[in-house]
Amino acid sequence: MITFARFEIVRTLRNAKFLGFLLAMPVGLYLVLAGVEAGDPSSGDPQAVYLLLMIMMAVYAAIGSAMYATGPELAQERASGWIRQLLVTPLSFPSWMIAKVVQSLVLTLPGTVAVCVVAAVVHGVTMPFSHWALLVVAVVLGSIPFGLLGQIIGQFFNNQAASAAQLFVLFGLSFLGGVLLPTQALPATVQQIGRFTPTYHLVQLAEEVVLGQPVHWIHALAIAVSAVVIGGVVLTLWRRDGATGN
Amino acid sequence: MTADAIVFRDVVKRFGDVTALNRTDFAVAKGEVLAMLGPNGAGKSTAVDLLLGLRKPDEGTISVLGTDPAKAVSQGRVSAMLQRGSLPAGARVAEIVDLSRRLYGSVRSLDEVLGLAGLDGIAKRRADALSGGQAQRVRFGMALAGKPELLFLDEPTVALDVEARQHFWRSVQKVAAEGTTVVFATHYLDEADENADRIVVLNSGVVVADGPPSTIKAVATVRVVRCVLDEPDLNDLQGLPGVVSVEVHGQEVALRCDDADSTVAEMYARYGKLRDIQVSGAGLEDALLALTSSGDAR
Repeated sequence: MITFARFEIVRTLRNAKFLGFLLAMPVGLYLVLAGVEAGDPSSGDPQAVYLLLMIMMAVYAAIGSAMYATGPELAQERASGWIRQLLVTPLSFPSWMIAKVVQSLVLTLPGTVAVCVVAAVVHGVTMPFSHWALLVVAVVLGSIPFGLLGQIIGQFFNNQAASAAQLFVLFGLSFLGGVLLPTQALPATVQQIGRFTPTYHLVQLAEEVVLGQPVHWIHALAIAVSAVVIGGVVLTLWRRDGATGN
Repeated sequence: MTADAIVFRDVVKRFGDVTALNRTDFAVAKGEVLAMLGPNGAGKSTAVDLLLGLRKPDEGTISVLGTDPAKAVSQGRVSAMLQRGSLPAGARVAEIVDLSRRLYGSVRSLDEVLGLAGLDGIAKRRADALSGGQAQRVRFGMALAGKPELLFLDEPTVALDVEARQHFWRSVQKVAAEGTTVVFATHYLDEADENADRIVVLNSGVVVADGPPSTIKAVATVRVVRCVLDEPDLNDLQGLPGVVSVEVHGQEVALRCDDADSTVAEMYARYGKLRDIQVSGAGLEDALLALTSSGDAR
């Protein structure tokens, strides 16, 4: 499993285009939104706005990168037969699944750190070092259910359908959970629904950590539960379809 | 328990309305090199999938190295080169082979595997920038990277040129000499003839022949003689030397012969004038028909 995780990490980190893609979206989105919000006097203290946007985009970077570790990439590797070739070696499916989660954790780092660095350098966002560290740790670990979600998409959908499904799920969950717009800015019903998404709990957890507020462990618990449930679906799909599933 | 590497007993596998394997039955002894020969769609790849535990049979029993196929695979006792399969983006050739080698518990050195698979010159190349033949050799390397007791090769030489093909079969012989049981699927009779100890011929999911290459080859060198006769007589035609089976449609006659020369000579002697005579080498498909209909008038 460790051998395979290392193999996957090395080959994805070598893929500059892919990494650029993981970085460009959240950093670009942060800069655009920061520009828009800062120019709007009704938004209040610009520094508070930058901080909030940084948290939201750090979460977006982590969950997006985690999902793209598999997602359409997995659908393609399944169609090309690579996954079959892999699974006729002694590598078991559960080991494969865990290795892909480990890979997704590593992939979340560049985007998350880049958003923090850009916010600090461009807009002078500051906080104690321990808060930065906690933010990155919380967001990276909190991306685990999303890494598993990418596995479902890659396993359930074929090629182009996987790309579409991935975008739909990523943006849907981001919108509902207050990653793209602050939760308070959403209509009441959407806010209610949003509370059932792991994205909501990840944003709340990240805010508490950054602002030094007492952490509500219910958020961490909700993320953990969603990871277990989604992981269960991945295993069930596997048992049903096997390595062939297309 | 058993000396058989594979027992494939009365196996049925259906995909919707299509029956890919229909009471398919064969066994492979330990250390044997077996060719599964048959035209496309005969059920070869389905059989390989079942033997690797990638699919489950609808009926029948399959045992691989005395256990369940999936278990034999997870124990690292089996390896396979599947028919299709592109290599992952971003990885280098040596990394892919090394991954497989480590998954099988590092029983061979990386250099040994690269040599066996003929990958010495391209070890550092990115796997997503290889030619079809090179990629096929990488997949061969993955299959050889352990020291499996049983090696499956599904249409292994399709994209290889002559030289690569020769190197490929030399490596397979080396591995077989180590005691590995080898099962390969092919639709080339010559390849099966030259490299296998035994050939199992599959057609429409049924084993139509099972024997040493010499026997299979003799049957498969059947020729078809066609001509037009004024009054063809079925019994008379069946009595001709070298005739395996006879088909008559009106005045048109088609004879499957294992010795076409004597058949034609006797026909000239007996009937004198033959119209529109034509002798053609029967392809594998015709040979398969000869095998299934051997001796029957049709």
